[in-house]
Amino acid sequence: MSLESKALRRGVMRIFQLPRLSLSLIIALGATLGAVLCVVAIASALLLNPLPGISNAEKLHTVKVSFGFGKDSFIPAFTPHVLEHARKHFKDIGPWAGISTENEQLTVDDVSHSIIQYSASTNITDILGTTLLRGAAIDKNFEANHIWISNSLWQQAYAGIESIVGTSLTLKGKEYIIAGVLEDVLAIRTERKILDNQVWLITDDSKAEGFGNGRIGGNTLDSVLVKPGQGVSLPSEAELREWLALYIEQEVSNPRMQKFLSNVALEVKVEAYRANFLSDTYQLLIALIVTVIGLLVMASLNLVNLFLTHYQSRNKEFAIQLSVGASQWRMRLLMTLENLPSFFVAGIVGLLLSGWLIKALPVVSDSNLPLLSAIRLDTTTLVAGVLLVISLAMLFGMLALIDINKHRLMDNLNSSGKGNAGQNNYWLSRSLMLVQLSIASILMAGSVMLAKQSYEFVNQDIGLEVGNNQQLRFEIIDKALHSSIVDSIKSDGDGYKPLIIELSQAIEREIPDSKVVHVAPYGPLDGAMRIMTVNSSENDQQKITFIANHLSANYFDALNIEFLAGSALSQQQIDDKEPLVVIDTTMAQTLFSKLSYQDVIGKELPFSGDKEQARIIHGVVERVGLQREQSLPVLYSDDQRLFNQLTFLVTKSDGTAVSIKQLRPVFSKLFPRLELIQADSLEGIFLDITASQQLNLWVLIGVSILTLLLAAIGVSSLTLMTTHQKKYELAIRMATGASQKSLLHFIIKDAMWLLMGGLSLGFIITVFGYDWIKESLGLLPDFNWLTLGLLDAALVIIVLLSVIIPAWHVIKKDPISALRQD
Amino acid sequence: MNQTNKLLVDIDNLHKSYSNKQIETKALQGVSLAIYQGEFVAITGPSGCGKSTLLSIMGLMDSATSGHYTVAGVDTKDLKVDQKTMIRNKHIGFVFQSFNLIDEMTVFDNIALILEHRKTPKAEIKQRVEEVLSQVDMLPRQHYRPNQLSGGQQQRIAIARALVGNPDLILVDEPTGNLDTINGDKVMALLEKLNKDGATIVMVTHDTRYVRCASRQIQLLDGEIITEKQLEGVA
Repeated sequence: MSLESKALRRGVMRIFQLPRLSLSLIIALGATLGAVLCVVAIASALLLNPLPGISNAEKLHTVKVSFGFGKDSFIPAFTPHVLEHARKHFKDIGPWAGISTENEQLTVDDVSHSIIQYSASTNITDILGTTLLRGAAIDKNFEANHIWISNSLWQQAYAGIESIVGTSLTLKGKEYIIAGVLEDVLAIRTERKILDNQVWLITDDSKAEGFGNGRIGGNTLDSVLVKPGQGVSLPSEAELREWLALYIEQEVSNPRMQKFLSNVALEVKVEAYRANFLSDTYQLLIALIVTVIGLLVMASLNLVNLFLTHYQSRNKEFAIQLSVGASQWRMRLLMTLENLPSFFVAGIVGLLLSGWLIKALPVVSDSNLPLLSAIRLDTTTLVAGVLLVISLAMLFGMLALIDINKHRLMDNLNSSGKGNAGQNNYWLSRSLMLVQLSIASILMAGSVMLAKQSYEFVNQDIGLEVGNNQQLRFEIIDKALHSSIVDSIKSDGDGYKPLIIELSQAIEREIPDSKVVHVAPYGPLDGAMRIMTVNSSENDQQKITFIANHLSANYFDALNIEFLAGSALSQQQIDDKEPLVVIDTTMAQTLFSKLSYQDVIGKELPFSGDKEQARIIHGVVERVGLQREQSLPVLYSDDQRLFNQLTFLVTKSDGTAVSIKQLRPVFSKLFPRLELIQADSLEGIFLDITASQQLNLWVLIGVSILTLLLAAIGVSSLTLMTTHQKKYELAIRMATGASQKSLLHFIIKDAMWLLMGGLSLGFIITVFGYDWIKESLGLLPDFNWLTLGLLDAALVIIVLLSVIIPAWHVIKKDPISALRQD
Repeated sequence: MNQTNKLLVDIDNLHKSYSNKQIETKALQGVSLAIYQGEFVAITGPSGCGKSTLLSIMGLMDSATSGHYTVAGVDTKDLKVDQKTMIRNKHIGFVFQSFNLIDEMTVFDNIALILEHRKTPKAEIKQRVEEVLSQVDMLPRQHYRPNQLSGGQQQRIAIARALVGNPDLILVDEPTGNLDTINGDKVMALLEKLNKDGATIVMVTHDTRYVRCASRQIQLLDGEIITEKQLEGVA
C-alpha cells in the first residue's frame, strides 16, 4: 500500500479514533457548509442560472415609471394604453411589452388549482424568449377568447393530455379556448405569488383605454420590458419624463386629473431585467453572503486552532518523516489526503443540511424568495461544495509543517512536546480565537438586532383583533353589472348597496351561525387601499395624503377597534346618509394638532373628499394596521368608490372557517355575475403579510445558533487543547498543593482576557461599524444598546461554559499522572 | 584508513553559533574534518562540546553558521530544504539516540518509509526491508509496533531504517545512550559488523567503552577538535 493510500486509510480511521478533532470538524464545518451551500444554491439560481422561461433575460431591460404619493407610496404609471403610447414614441429603440399578474383559482374537473394569471402584450413570448411547447404561438392575430397555459398546469390539471389545444376552460366566469402550452415562466417581478400553474391572457395594447374614468392605479402593469436593438441606447430618465408629460397632455382629458398628474412626483428607472427582478432580493442575498462568509471564516479559524494543536502533537512524527527523506510537499500532500475523509464527511453533512434547508425554504420563505422552485443543489453548488472541501483540506494540510523548523530538524526530533515547546502557537491560537470571537460578536449583533426587528414585526400590535374573522371577497365579473353600478353611483343612486345587502343576507344564510360585515373594497389588512391627496383647509399649502376606508356600522365592533372619542355610526345613520365620518388618531393629529380627540368630535372635516357636502367627525378611533406608527391618516366614510370588488368579514360563532372550495360553487350558482375570489381568515392574511419577516426571523435564529455553536466549539476545543498542553504545568501546580478548584480558577483567568479581548474588539467594531453597514445594506434596524448588551452577556455565558466544562473534564482526570508518565 | 578510498565527508572550518536574545553560544568553532568511505569514526567529548551539533550538520538537519560541508561530492552550502531532504534520503542514514520511530506505524512501515519516499516499487521495498530486518535479526518482529519492543530492539529497528536505503554515510547519535549494557553491546557489535561489511559510520558517543569499535576517534572540546587518532577496532 502506498503512503498516499495509507494516509487516506489513516484519515478514515481518524474519524472514529480521534473524535475530539473529527467530531468538532464535522459539526463545525458541516453546519457551516450547510449554510454556505444553501446560499450558493440560492445565488446560483438567482444570479447565474438562466431565468426559467426567459431565455432573452440578458438582452432585456425594464422601464419603471411611477407616480409617488408620500415617502413609500407609488402607483405605476404604465397601463396597456400608456405602454402603447411609449411604444410608438420610442419606436426606434426596439420592441416593448407589458405584463401584469393576478393570483386566481382555476377549477378543472371539479379540482381547484391556485394559478397565476399573466395578462400580457401580444409580443410577450417573442420578447421574453419563452418556448411554445404545444399549439399556436401568441401573436397579433390571436382570438379574444384564446388562452395559453403553462407546462405545469398542463401536467397537473390536464395530466399532460396530447389533445390539450382546443380544450375549453372557465376562468372568472368566462370561457376560454386553450390555444397553446408555454414553458413555465417563473421570473416575473410582481408582489404576487408566482406559481408554476399559469394562464396567459393576451391584451392588444392598441385597443386599451386610457385614464378615461379619471382614476389612476387601475389596470396597471407589473413590468414593462424593452428589448433594445443592437447598438441602440435606452431612453434616458429625462426622455421618459418628457414623454410622460406629453402623454398626460395628449391623452388625459380630465383637466383636474391632468393638473394633478403633471404636479405629482415621479420615480423613473431603467435597469437590466435580472437586476430589476432581483432588486428586492439583492440586499437579502448580500446579507446572506456576508453572513455565511463570516460563519465560514469563524469555522475556519476554529479549525485552524484545532489543527494547529493536532499537528503540534505530531511534530516529532513529521520531523522523523522529513529526516528520512520526505519532501515538504509530499508531507503536505499526505496530510491533505489524511484530512480528506473527515472533510469529505463534513462536506456530505453540509450537502445534506443544505438540501434540507433548500427543501425548507418554501415553508419558511413562502413567496419571499423568488424562483423558489429553481433553487436546488445544482452543478454549481455541488462544484462549489467539492472545491470548498478540497481547498479547506489542502489549506489545513499546508498547516502541517508550520511548527517544524526545517533548518533545525534536530530541535523537533529532540523535543518532548512538553512545557513551553508544546505551546509554540499559544499566541497564534489566541489571536485566531480573538478574531473569531470578534466575528461572532459582530454577526450576533447584526442578526440579533434584525431578529428583534422581525420579531417585533411578526408580533406587532395592529390595533385590532383579527379574532376568527374570515375575509370573503367577490369580484364583479359581469361588465354590464359593473357599468350599471358605476352609472348609479355617478347619479348619486344606491350604487353597490342593494348588491351588498343581498350578498350579506346570502352569506348569513349559507354559512350558518355567522355574522357579516361589509368592509368593501378592501379588508382591514390588505395592502392595497385607496390613497387620496387633498389640500388641508387649516393650511392651504399643506397636502394631506390619506387612506380612504369604507365605513360600516359594525365594522369597529367586529374588529374590536377602540374609540378614543365619539362613537361608531348606527346602520340607521348610514342608511339615512347622514354626513358623518370617523377618523383615526393620525388624521386627528394631522388636521387638528392643537385639539384633544374629544374636542375634534363635531368638527367639520376641513376638506370635502369626493362629496360636496361638509362632513362632521363623529368618532376618533385608534390607528390600526401593520406598522401603524408609520401609517398614513385614515378616513372612514360611506363614500361609494369605483371598484369591482366587494369584501366582507364573516365571523362564525363556533370559530370555524369555511373553505373557498366549499363556498365557490354555492355562490357561483347564487350570483353568476360575481366570482368568489378569496375566503381567507384574517389570521392567515396577517401571517401571509408577515411571512417575509418570519423568514428573516427563522434565518436569523439559525445564524445566531450557528454563530454561538461555532464560538462554543472553538472555545471549548481551544480550552481542551491548551489544558492538555498545560497538563505538566497543572500537574506541577497540583503536586505543589494546588486544589482542583484553584486549577480551574487558573484556567478561567487565562481564558478571561481572551473572552474580554474578543468581545471588546467585536463590541468596538459593532458600535463603530454598525451605521456604516446599515448604510450599505439598508436592512439593519436602528442600533440598540440593550440588545447588544444582552447578546454579549449571552456570548459571555456560552464562552465561559465552553471554558469551564472541558477544563474541569481534564482537571478531574488527575493531572499528576502526566508527571508519572514522564 | 586507506586514504585512496573515496572522500565522503569534507568539512572545512565549520562554525555554528546559537543566539538567544543577548546570549550567544558557540557550539562549533572552526571544525575541519575529512571522512573516507569505509571508515568508522567515533566523535567523543563531554556534554555540550558540540558533537551532536556536528552530527546534525553532517546529517543536514541543521545548518552551519559558516564554513563548508561537502557530502558525497555535494556542496551543501546553498542547498534548499527539499534538496537537503533528497540528499538525506539518498546518501545519509541517521540513527537517533531516542530511536525516533513512529509509534502509529509497524516496524516494517517505519523501515519502509525511506524507500516509499523514493517511490521504490512495492516488491523491491518488501525485499529490501526484509533483508535489513534479517541483518539486524528482527525479521520476526516486522508487524510489531515500536512501543511493543524493548529499547535495544527499537534501536536495532532504527539502525535497520538507516541501512535500508543503502546510504553512503550512516550517522549514529549516542546509540547506547538509552540502552542497558547488554543491549548496548549488541548494538555496537551490529554497527561494527556493518562497518566491516563496508558501511561508513560516524558515531557520536560519550561512552568511552565503545570508542574502541571505531577505526578513528575525534575528540571535541568547546566546539573544537582537540585530538584525532587512528584506532585498531576491537570487538
